[in-house]
Amino acid sequence: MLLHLEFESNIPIYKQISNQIVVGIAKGDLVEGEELPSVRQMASDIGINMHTVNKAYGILKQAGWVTIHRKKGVLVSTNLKAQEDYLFLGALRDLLEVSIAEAFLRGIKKCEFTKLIEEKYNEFEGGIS
Amino acid sequence: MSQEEIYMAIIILASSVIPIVVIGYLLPSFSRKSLIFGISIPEEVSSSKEAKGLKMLYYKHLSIANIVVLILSYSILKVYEIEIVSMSIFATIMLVIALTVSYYLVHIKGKRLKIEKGWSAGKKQVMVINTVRKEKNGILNFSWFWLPTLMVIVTIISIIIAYPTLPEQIPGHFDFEGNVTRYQGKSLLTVSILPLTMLGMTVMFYFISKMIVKAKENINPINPEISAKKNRIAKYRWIVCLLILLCSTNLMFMIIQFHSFGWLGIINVTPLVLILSFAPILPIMYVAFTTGQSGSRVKIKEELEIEGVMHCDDDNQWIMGMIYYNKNDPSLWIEKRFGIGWTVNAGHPIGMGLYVVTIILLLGMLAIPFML
Repeated sequence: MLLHLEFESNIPIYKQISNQIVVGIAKGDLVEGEELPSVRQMASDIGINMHTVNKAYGILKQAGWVTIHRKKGVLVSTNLKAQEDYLFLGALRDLLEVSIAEAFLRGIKKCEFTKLIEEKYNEFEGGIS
Repeated sequence: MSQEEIYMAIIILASSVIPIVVIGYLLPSFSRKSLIFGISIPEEVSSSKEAKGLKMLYYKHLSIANIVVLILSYSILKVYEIEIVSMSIFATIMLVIALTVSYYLVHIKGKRLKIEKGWSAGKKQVMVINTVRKEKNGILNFSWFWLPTLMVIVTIISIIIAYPTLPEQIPGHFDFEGNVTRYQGKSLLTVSILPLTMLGMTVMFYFISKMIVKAKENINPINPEISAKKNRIAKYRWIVCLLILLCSTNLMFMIIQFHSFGWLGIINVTPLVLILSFAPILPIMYVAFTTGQSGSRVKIKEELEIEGVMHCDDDNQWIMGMIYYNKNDPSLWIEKRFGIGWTVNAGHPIGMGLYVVTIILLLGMLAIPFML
């Protein structure tokens, strides 16, 4: 999978890395158990400090999307379709509230917003089995 | 000049002076389209009138500089009667300096043009990286390195077998007709020079190949999928090239070793040795032309191109467009900006060390012809 990073973006690099990996897993571009580059390898591929990559992998590990082995390195987790997580649902509600509020204020219609969500869901359901 | 000296002069011309002059003129064509004389630009600029002007300027500078160096070297050779070998080292280094200066002058001009013309204005700068492990994707199987290693082992075994039966004086140097011109005393040191060189080269080439596998890739955000493929193809081809070079060198040393034991009879091995030392140039030239830096010359059917993006502008991390200095980057090796091959990150402690050692060695070699 290819990561597209923008240094001039408002989103910090570690966030861009972790976001794109999550989307990649959902789309099926990254498969369960796939090896990801080591912290050193990814940092040198991008030409950035290793702390930045560490931070990105840290976020992914905490969320359970990757596992970090001392020998095997960084792997995409194998039990991705876990049980519904009520804690996460609360966080999602907060996250969406802001996005929906902004969409509402910019005059985006309800059906347009739900269509967007449906499109993305279809994309991800096609990717992961 | 004696016959030997004339042969020597021809070999030196063919192996150092001529290649450097030729390579100097070819270098601009090996770069990626998103770089011109070490300056990052959007790809479409590479075919602009200004870009062509920069190239012409470079050829002009280079031609003048080369002529000056060659005339100067020839006159020093005639006036001071310096040995031709040390003189050619001097000439070679001066040619490299001439090339560097010609490049740098154009680099400065290009940098000014980039700002004046606003080449990168309004372009989204994107850096693309591949998460697929480099060791697992289209890289040559490293067990091929057993082939040159086997040659080292065979040579070492041959010495162990031959050592007790060797005479007290063994051939140390041959002339171009294959006659022995110098004998040396038999000792463990004199017989192990060749295998040690072979072993050193094999280890060095193995690590260089490992370095190539791990080195940063330059994926073009305009057509990332294709470009990622090209990068891997380029790595594969360079490692094959190194392997060919290593095998032919080891084979050459093996033949020389056997010849010095008298195992090959009285045949003249010089032509064979010459062929083996020059043959790898062909595949290397072929790969350079068909691959280019980051695989930019690899031909793959291009798919649609994304507009409005350019490769991340990292000009600030390149001193004079030549020396990569990035303290944050943990990588030691990085693709060159101009020409072909890799260079070190001067922001890395080992990289800085390598720069210091190289400068000391260069100064030393420049001084040699004047001290003899």
